[in-house]
Amino acid sequence: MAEHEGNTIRVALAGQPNVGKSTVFNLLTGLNQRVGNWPGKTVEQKAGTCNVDSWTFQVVDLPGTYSLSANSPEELIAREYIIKEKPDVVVAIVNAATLERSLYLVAELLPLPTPVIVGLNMIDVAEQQGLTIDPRVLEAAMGVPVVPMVAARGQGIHDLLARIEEVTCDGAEYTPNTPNIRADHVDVLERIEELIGGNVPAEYPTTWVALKILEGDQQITDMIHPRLPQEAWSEVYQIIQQHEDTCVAVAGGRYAWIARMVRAAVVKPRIGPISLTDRLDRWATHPVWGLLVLVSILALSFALTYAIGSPLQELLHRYLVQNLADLAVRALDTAPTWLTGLLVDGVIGGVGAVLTFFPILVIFFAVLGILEDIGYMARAAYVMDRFMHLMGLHGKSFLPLFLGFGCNVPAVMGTRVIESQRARLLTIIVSPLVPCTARMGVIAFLAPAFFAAPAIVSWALLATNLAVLVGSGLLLNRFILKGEQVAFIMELPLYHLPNWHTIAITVWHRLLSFLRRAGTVILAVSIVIWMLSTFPGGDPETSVLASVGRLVEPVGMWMGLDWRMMLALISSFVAKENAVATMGVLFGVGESGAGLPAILRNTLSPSAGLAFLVTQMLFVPCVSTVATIKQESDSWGWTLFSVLFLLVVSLAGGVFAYQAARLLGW
Amino acid sequence: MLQELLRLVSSGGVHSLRQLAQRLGVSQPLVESMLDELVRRGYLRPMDRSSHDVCDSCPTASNCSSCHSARVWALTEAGIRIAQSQSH
Repeated sequence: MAEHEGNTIRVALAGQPNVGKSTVFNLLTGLNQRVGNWPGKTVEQKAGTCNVDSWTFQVVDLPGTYSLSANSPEELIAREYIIKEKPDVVVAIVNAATLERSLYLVAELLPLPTPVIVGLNMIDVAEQQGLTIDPRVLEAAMGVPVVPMVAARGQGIHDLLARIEEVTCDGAEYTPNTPNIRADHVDVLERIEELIGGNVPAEYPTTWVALKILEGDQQITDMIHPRLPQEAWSEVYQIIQQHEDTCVAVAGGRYAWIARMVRAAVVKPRIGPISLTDRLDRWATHPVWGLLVLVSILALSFALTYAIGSPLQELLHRYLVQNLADLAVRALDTAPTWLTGLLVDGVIGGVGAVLTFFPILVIFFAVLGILEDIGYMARAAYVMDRFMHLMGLHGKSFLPLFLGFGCNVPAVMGTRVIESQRARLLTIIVSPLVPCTARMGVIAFLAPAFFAAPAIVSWALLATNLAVLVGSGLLLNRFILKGEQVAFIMELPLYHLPNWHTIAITVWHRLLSFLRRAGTVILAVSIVIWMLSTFPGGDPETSVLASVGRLVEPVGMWMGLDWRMMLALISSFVAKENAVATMGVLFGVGESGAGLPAILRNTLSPSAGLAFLVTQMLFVPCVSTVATIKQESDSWGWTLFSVLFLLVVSLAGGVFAYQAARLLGW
Repeated sequence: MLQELLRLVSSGGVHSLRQLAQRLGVSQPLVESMLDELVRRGYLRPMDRSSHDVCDSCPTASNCSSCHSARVWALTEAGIRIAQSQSH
């Protein structure tokens, strides 16, 4: 039983920040408060009194602290006060809604000699969250009184005072259920206790001091060191040095204790959004089903994009591009033929072809935006990474690679999170294999031109890219990184209903940047391509461009692609959408009545189309990404290596796809 | 409990909080609380954008929302040592 003088009970109020401790203090003391500083500290001290029946409660409000380690002046003040000033009782206020976090301080308070009463505050908030805590069970589990409270409404304050009286007056033995050090460290703890026993200042409990020494508490260690005989100290020192994990064993014991308390006292687990997320995640993050869910969602997204986007794209071509071209031809009736050619074939054919992407992109970006906003994308990354992990490409690269789906530039920038220089370089080199939205946009445009089931083809192309990525990673990992092991923890955010405003803004930003490219880079390249394809004679087949294109045509032959397609591929180096713009110019979309997809369908076999799509997906990234690779790798050698590597991989992929498709008779 | 957590994580790959909570037989908030503790003690390193200057210098930061989707932690060298330390 604690000692107290006359009718006065000294109460120390402890608690973490934001548990309602100040509310309890104000309820108890009302206007009888004094505010000063803790002796020798700049930390504010609040104290007050409360008279109930014949009792005077002297309440000291300890600073709000998460634990009682020596991390901050507040924590030192709190523990020094309890140990040295010996209040009759410590009231620990905990937040029932965040019990797991709040109980840590209680776990630290229980090994001290002063009796503890737990004020289980905010039980109303906990209940709103679907969390029911049985205070009686918690009381039995901890072995100290637990008073349920809603301090904000003044509930429980009288019970609290009654329990304080009880504890200080009834003389019952105080036997709390304290946290234990992890079982395999019990003998180490006992040895430390033996070594320091008899040299610990009287007010400090020996076991507590021993625990703090094992935990690496500098203040306690400094206090004990000069008091110990030399041999005892060197053994203590040796034990600490030998066991780097003792601090984890001590703190881990507290968490094990919290886990036991929570398991005992929480009657109903949380319901609502958390368990809905849990239920969905059981599927979405499962090693097998999760991958299937991902694959299905991707396939569905593509199917949706094509089902709505492709007809719109055709309409746009028929009514916008063609009418514009007709209008231009009529308006420029008297103008020189080169000007008509430039406008109709160059600008309208090139930029116009790209602009008909618009509906496809809107839908694709919207679907991506929705998946991101409801919280699915984090799961996609999680599932993908488990998959990559199985294949040997380890964790740290995944975050930057994940960013690559938006754009390869942030993927390359994102490799800065990787400390190991070699791992970083590897990730930089493979990151362009993650298809960015611009690449996916080109695929979304071209796949329906060649195939009746574009959704499945797009999906297979994406899968091919990831397989090549994993394969390259595996090879480079084996030969360069030699299996460097990296591990990760990811917090998957709760699923929630889509916020249409956020999604609209995301889609808008992406479309703006697409339009900006269409108005600048794509326009410029279209004009250059047109000029080169017209000069000198006006016939593309005999133009400067054709002679350049014919230089690369032998490579194209292996993939069933003529010089125009090869040039489209090369022009995609400037910006991915240029592939379509170049085709638009070279295939004369501006002047012919048919849209580019129809022209392509008539010009190329499906096997050649497939070869182009595969090559396009694996091709050297756009010039901004290459510039970023140079900047981040700080080496022309590695930049060149990365470009050549992707060039070889993409052409090999195209040739393989073409030959395989031909064998299948496509 | 903390060492078990570090051991689970160090087995490699990516772990979700839910999966860690299930494996340890505890609630997710407790796992979160332990992660904070391990970060404080220097055994885990949070890898969000605030701890790196990646996004500051990225030209596409303004229309990129991927960075905010999930919080990620990685083991530090000390964390790996603790995970591998044997019970004596």
